[in-house]
Amino acid sequence: MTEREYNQCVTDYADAVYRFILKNLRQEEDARDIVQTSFEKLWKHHLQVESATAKSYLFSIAYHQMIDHLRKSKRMQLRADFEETVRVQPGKADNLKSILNHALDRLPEIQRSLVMLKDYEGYSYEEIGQITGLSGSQVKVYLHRARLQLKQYLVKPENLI
Amino acid sequence: MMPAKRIDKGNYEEFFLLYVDNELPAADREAVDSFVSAHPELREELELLLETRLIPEEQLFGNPEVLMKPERAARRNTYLLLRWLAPAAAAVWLLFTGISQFGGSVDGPPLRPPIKIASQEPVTKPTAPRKTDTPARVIRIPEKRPLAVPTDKLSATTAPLAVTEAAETVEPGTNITETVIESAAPVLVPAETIQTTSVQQTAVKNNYASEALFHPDGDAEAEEEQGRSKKGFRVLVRKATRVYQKVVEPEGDKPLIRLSKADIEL
Repeated sequence: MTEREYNQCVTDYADAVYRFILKNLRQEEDARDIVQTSFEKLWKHHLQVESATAKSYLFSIAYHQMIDHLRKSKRMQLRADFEETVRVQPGKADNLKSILNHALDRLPEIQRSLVMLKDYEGYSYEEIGQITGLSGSQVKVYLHRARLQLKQYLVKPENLI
Repeated sequence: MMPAKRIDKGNYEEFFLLYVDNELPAADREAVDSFVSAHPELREELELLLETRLIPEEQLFGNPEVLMKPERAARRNTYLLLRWLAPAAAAVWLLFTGISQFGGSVDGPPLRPPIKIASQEPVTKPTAPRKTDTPARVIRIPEKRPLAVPTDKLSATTAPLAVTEAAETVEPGTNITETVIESAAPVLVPAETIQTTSVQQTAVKNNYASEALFHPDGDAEAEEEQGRSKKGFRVLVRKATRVYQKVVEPEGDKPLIRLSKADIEL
């Protein structure tokens, strides 16, 4: 990848990576730090990275940076189950998007990341597996579990009031 | 990702999830649509799953330029500019400096003050040098020294140098007892700038010719040098001839090495 292609990656993917990390961390400064670190690593290896795979490479770096960050801050949820015990009442939020965001916040980190990589970036199971280090089958299982849990959250009447 | 089987009431949920994740091929998507049409009680379930898909939000990094790197082309341009600008500037400076210092002129060769031949006749009393701005250089040729080049040959040998009317004033065999050459400086003079000498009969238009004619030692050295070169050339030809004869006409049965067209004796 040339310098020009690297800069094109910055133009094309900086916002997407930032959104991906921010939605997981919910802290702007930490998200910016991770984005910068990710691009620095991409720049360090830009001669070895093909332009076609640069986006996946970038998201992979950012994802693992984020996981490391969460582990360090001890906010990582290791269990993949939906937290039904801690439920935030959205009040009178009739906005489906807001409810969905609340439901997303209840998901474990890994599942949330998978949902975002699928819905925001449109990656396939295999591509998500390459980014996260999981197999395609694992991605499929985690994603389906996350969808069902989100659906359950949406249908509960207390969440819709 | 392909489902293992066709959609039915026992596996529709997996098909719905794959449908939401956009992992079904077109044929299976149509199969799901047909299945939902055939089972409207399951449509709500599919729509709920579709609502779990996140809507992309506009969240900007803000200043992506801090992440960008200078491109090599830009760096190379700057490098090349610095690399070539300095030598180019130096070359231009040298060009103009050289022109101004070494008297380069577009109109003609560098000029020098003309050498004036003051006299070619026997001088009874020294000719007073002309008043010039610069001190005159006087070259005195020893008395009774014959002209190095006969004047009858002079016109022929110095024809390109445009010796005019020399034959009228210097008769063949005439000895020049003393010649005074006035010169402001020992520099070259183009033929056009030479002025008429104080002796009106002689007009030599080229300073090189005049200096060659009247220089006391120049001819002897030239002849000696020419003689050396001629002798050296003759020796070289003689040796080459001998080698050629040995090669072409070898003596006896001496072994030969055939090299190309010539046989070299060992």
